[in-house]
Amino acid sequence: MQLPRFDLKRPSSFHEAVRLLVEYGNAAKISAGGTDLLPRMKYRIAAPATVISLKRIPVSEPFQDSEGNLHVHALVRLSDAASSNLVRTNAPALADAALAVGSEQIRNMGTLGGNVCLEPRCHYYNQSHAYQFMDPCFKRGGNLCYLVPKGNRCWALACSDTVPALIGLRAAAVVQSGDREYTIPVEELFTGDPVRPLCLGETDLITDIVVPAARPRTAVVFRKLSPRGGIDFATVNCAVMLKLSEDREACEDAIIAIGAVSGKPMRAGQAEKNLLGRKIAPDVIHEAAGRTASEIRPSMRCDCSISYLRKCIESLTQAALETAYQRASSGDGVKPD
Amino acid sequence: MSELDYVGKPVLRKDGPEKVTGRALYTVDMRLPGTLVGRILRSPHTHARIVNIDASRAERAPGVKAVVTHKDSLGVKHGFVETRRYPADQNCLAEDKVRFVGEEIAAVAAVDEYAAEEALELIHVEYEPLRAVFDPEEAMERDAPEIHPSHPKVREPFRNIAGKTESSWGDVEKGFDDSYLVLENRFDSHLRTHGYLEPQATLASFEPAGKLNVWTSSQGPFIKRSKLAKTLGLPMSAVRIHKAYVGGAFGGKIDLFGHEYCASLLSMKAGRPVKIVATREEVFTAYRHGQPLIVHVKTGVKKDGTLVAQRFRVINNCGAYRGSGVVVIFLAWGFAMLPYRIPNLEYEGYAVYTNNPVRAPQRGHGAPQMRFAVESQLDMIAEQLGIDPIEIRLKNARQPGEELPNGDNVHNCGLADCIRKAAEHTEFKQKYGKSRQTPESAGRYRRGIGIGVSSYFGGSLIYPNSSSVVVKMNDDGTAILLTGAMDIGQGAETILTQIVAEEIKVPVEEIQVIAADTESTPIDIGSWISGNAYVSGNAARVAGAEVRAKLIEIAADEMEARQEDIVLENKTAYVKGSPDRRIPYSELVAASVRKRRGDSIIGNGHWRTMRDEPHHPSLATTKGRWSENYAFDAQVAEVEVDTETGKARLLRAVTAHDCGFPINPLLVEGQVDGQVSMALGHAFLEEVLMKDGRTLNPNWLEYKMPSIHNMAVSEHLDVVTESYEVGRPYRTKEVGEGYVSAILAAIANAVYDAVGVRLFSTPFSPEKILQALGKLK
Amino acid sequence: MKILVELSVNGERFEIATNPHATLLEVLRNQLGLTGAKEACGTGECGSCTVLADGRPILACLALAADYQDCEITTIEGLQAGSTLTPVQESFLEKGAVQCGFCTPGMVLSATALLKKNPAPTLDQIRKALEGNLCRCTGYNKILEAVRAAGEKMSQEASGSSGQ
Ligand SMILES: Cc1cc2nc3c(=O)[nH]c(=O)nc-3n(C[C@H](O)[C@H](O)[C@H](O)COP(=O)(O)OP(=O)(O)OC[C@H]3O[C@@H](n4cnc5c(N)ncnc54)[C@H](O)[C@@H]3O)c2cc1C
Ligand code: SF4
Ligand code: FES
Ligand code: FES
Repeated sequence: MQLPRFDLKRPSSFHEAVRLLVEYGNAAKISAGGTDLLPRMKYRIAAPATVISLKRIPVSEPFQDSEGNLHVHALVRLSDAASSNLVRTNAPALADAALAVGSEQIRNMGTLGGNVCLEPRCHYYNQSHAYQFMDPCFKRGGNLCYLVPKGNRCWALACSDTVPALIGLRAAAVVQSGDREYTIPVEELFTGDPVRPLCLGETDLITDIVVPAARPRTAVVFRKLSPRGGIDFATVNCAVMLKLSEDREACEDAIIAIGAVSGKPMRAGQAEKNLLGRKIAPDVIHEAAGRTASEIRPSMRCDCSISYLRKCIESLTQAALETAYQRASSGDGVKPD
Repeated sequence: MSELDYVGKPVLRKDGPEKVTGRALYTVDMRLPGTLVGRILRSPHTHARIVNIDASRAERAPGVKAVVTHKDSLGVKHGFVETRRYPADQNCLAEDKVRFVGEEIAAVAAVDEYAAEEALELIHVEYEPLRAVFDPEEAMERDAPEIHPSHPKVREPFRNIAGKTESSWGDVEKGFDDSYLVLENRFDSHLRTHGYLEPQATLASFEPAGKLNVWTSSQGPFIKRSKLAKTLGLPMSAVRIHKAYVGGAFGGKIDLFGHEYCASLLSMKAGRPVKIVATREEVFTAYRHGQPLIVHVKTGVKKDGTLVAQRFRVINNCGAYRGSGVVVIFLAWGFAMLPYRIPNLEYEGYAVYTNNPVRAPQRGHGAPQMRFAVESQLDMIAEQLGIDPIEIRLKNARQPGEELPNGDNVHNCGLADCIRKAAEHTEFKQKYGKSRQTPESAGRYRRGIGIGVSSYFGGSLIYPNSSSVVVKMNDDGTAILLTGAMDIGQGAETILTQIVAEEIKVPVEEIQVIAADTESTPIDIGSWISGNAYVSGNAARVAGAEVRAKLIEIAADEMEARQEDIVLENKTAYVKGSPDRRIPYSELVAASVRKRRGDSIIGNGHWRTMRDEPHHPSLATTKGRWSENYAFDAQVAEVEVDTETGKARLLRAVTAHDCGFPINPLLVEGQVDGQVSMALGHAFLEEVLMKDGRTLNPNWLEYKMPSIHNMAVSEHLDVVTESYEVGRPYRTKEVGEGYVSAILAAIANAVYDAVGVRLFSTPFSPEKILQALGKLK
Repeated sequence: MKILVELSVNGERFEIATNPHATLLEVLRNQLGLTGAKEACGTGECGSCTVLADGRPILACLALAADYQDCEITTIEGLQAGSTLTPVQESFLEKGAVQCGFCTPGMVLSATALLKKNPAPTLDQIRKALEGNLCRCTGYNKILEAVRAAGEKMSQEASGSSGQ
């Protein structure tokens, strides 16, 4: 399978990359690891005239600042993120999520930034359209949806594995925008519209991910459900954060983030709120999982039903909460398995 | 019985070193100077009339060297089956109608992929869309759109019948009346694909002198040669299929394909080599898949579980052309009646045209679907009668020497032994039913055990009907083996070498194999009716025996001994009792050349199954002999079901099999493992998702072929029922496709055993399991 | 417009004029004649195009050739020194881990990279390292055995040579 023709730019810094983005506008696309962009280009659903490859930009190792915040370079490869000792000890959920992506080869190529910016997916969209589904759907700039023919929007799924983990960690993205730099919580990066999934400007690039310092009695846990346990995108993934009170009994803070079931990762706000102040016990966890499953609204998809997805969300959330409680209540809650 | 040196040993594959070093050349790796890139224009419509095809702009496009459409073809149709009853029904390039998405309409050859791709966009095709139908039962209805006229010999008023198989014996109605218990169920199976790693690919080079040279990823060169010659209007002798390594096939590379025809025709037109490699997406969307069958089965049994009568109605969604659709409804009958004695049977099978891609054989070719149905129902019967699943199978299993209703004989059938061994080895009786007896609170993960049995034929009569083998001695006492057999990974070259090695006592490493070339090697039945070990193997044995006889004769002369006293061993001959005095083969060959008018010692062998039968049995009536060689197996599955997520996994598969005798135990194990893996994909993971004739998951991300995480422990137990003796014909049995079936049934039964709900359709997806458990709202 | 790409493959330097959009797999197969890496999907799902970049398995079908100029590429053709098979290749042969062989180069490379990092992997570690390499023929069990055996062989060789 050939890539379409394009011109290749290989900047050696984010500054230069942003300048090129400004110069070429939306005729250019960024390739970090290329593992998401290149298959789409092979399918001709992306055909930029210019590809700006970030491969030459030096990648710094993850480091901790004086306040204990963990800085991870956007171009760090997922396998390096997963095996970094700093990441493993300070943000095990991120390491676990990175390790859950694709395969060894994909993780050796794919970057954290690319994973965060992963294009939403759909069976009808992620294939070539030479003789199947030729008319462009919403996501390809057209005016129809194959999945929900009566609908007027796109239902593609945001499948990134690291994003729910980063949300659970309350991580933020450092964005280079022209000469300016700003920071935005990862959770706020997403519009919810799979056609234009990111809030980033056209010439913005993520340069770093910052994970706030680990807190005591707190655990963040990532879980993924997929048919084969390898290669696959998640059917559902989930990250939960649980912070316990001083006596390690009641919930002081909670995040439940569910990915891969809609146009952006979802928070189970009601379930979270309901946990606050409650003494954690099996029935409370069970209740929270159940609430999560009923409040998250999975999108339609063509390989399984919504009620099945709900069941998956429930059991995955339950498992993640159990582990999080275990970890938060014993030790400092941030050590890897 | 003589000691065996090479047969029965875990000899390492002949082609192994080439493969582990990356030097093995597959069709996709082949290139000739000046090779053009070919691409195919495919139908975007499920069913449409072609009003006009205008390729003139493409012809003029830069870099384009040739464009072909139906007008350039001879209009000769092809089909997997080409008989009087079932004539070829598929054009090589669509003429006036397209009947499935992906059907070939035109092809271009250009200097590179980009030029070819752009040229495809310049071909303008005007269509008039027609109503389409995708479900076989709907397609049979009176008001369904007509894809092809129903077969003229089918009496029922159904539409779109590509063919029908009918067979019966005894009195089924009376059998049901006499039965203590009668069950009637419907079992559905789903669409799966072969998943060979090497995509479909062909390199064709037409020489000015009129010779067409072809390298193609296939399961047998001779069938390809015959079909290409016929459709291209070339004499068979003008088409040469060359050998290339083949990256897997599993039934999906037998028939003639559009890219093979188009690459050849384009090369003839452009006067340059043309290579077409299908993309993985094309393989998924436009090539052939397996056959989803709807199986109705009604069974009557006595109180003790003895089968009295069985009635089958099978419907095959056979796609837009006949493909192997009418073969599978014949085979489905066979796989239904093989393992058990059924005194009264009635079978009818329909192959129904639909606007889906065409079907091909897929490892097991109907057996998994049939065994799933029969074995599931048998467990239901056993439970109702209070009989153990092992006992009911033993009670009905065919015994050695039994004659089948069509006149075939099961000879040394080891089925009962297989069942016993599998059960004992897995402690089946102790485990069975345990999970269902424990209360719901027993836990989230439930284990279950199940058994299934199956039988598969080894070789039948399909073109070219026989295999021949030549063995040549070299001056230095080593040998060369020429065979038309195609090694698709199963190890054909290795086992044929072992057999020759055994006959002539030259070590396996010192026999060079030249294979799968229609000009330099003799004909072979091909690697697709499971007759390789038996038919080609016996041909190799006969060829080896001829060489052996000559070596012995000369050795006797040279050593002035009686022929009976000559012993051959490791490239030398000696007289019984005095192994210290040996003549190396190199000297025997020299002596033969010197004293026998230059005879350099060449052996010839050929073999045909059922030598007195004129041809394959009737696909329509099942009359006539089918095979003289049947393998049997019993497989036990142990599964674990997560009752929270519905995910089930195969933990352990035990295959007890009567394969005659294993010529190469290592290769046999490989076949067993590979089939277990495919079967668990069938059971739990794989499905080609289609919507209205279009493929939703044309890639391995979404078509869930098992990964290394999903494989189970796989054990196998040999039930040896035949033997190999130098100089004697043998009847070893197939191991290449018989073990995808019983294990599927065993898995189905094990899932039931684990959670107490019976699934009547494949795949046993988490969703279906949760649904059955009543856990989905 | 062609670009000039400098690649280091199996210890040799190559200067190649190629397309900016050429993948590493295309350059290896079509321009350098190294056809051991296969394209079974072209979109990252099967691992048959696996090569090592600085010792790590990557997918040559999703790598732009121009992006891999600063590292050392190893293909299946570059694994052996001379004509002796490596322990991994040998074990694949001996354990029957090869059938059609189309996945084999990728499998062998992934396994080699794993064993270099971790000579005594657990079965789960082997599975994790090979999860991106599909094989339709073998059912994987013999591949698992082969990788384990190769690891043992390599450790023995290593301890044998250090003892000398
Ligand atoms: C077979 C296969 C399996 C996969 N399985 C998984 C899986 O299980 N889970 C999963 O999450 N993903 C999976 N992926 C998708 C993908 O490989 C990963 O998400 C990977 O992390 C993407 O990173 P990349 O650097 O390769 O992305 P790229 O392809 O380089 O980029 C992805 C997108 O992000 C943009 N982008 C990249 N970097 C930046 C940046 N710094 N700032 C702004 N925009 C940027 C790009 O323009 C592009 O649109 C799979 C892919 C394949 C082919
Ligand atoms: S959900 Fe609809 S609009 Fe969105 S990518 Fe799929 S088919 Fe297109
Ligand atoms: S060809 Fe590269 S992953 Fe399949
Ligand atoms: S050996 Fe054929 S795909 Fe692995």
